[in-house]
Amino acid sequence: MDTEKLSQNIKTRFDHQQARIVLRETYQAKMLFAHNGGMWRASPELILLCKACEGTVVLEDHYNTPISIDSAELLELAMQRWQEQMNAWQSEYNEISKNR
Amino acid sequence: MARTNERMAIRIQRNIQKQMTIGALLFAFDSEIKYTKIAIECARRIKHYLDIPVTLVTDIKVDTDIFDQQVIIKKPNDTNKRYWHDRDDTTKWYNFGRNSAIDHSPYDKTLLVDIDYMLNSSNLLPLLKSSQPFLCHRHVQRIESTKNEIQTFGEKNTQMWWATVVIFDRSEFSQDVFSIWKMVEQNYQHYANLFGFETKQFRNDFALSISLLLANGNTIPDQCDIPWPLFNVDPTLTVSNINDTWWIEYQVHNETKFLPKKICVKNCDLHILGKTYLEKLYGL
Repeated sequence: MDTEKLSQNIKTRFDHQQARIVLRETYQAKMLFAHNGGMWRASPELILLCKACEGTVVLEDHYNTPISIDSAELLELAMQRWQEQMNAWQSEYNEISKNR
Repeated sequence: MARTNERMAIRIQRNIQKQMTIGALLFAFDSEIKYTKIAIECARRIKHYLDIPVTLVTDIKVDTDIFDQQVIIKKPNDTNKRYWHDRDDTTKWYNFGRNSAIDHSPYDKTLLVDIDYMLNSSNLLPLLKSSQPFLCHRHVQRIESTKNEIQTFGEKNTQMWWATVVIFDRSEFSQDVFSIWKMVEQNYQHYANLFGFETKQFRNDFALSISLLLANGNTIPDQCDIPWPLFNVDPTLTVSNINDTWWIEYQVHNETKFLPKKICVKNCDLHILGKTYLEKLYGL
């Protein structure tokens, strides 16, 4: 490697702000899951809504389609997906924070 | 007992037949760029992250067992010439006939991807399991940009959907979209006049956008959006891949000078527009 290229490599800083933006978008996509023919985004809003409902209810999915679901079943899936992805997000966030 | 088992076997067989088949479809025609070689890497990633079968549409059979099926068709007669910044040259680019994907696909639900779309996650899997008939990206984000956007084309600033990743089933809506896509390709000059765009290059993105609008009754089809942006990596950026982590270098303008910056990306699918990088990365 020539000196100029080496010097350029040293000068190239890790863009933490941009990496975090891309990471957030990545994990927003990972929050999506399909259930009962609908598309759902695991989020505190969906979890609270499922908790407020009992038995079979009709909820609006990501594509504004009314879908009949078992609230307990959807709650379990949403909770599981949300926790898994939040943990993975935090782990990757900590990893990129170490980059220089 | 034997009869019960037989009935059970018939029932299982019927259930299997009822199950929807899901798979990916790639188009690749070699020119100065060995597109079929890049398609092999693209297929490997699809299998690794999505675990679905992959069919290749090409003109000469490729000697590999990565593809579950190869559909051999005549190379499209028409070509585009495209200048690639990373090659500093123009190369031939066969992008006609993409609208025949629905005819070539052996699957009920198909993931149609450009071979320069590098999967790094299983994010597309829920979309393949959803009941949405047709999905593609409308929001796009350059990897070095802080915001995603909807690009427009033509004098009428028509919103653009990207043909890079398309998920479709065999519904009437999907059939309509592909029929109109074909019609737009065959009458490209006419639609260029209507929407006010240039015809130097045939753009599947334009043809798909027009067909979605028409198939949806001249209204914006919000139900067709993939719910996250397409991450584009411009050919002007420097890309390298180390242990399946993508390192991307770019320059940020800061008042008086350009500052060299880099980020690393993993678990995120990328549309790598610089074919030379892909060729180098995979030793082609």
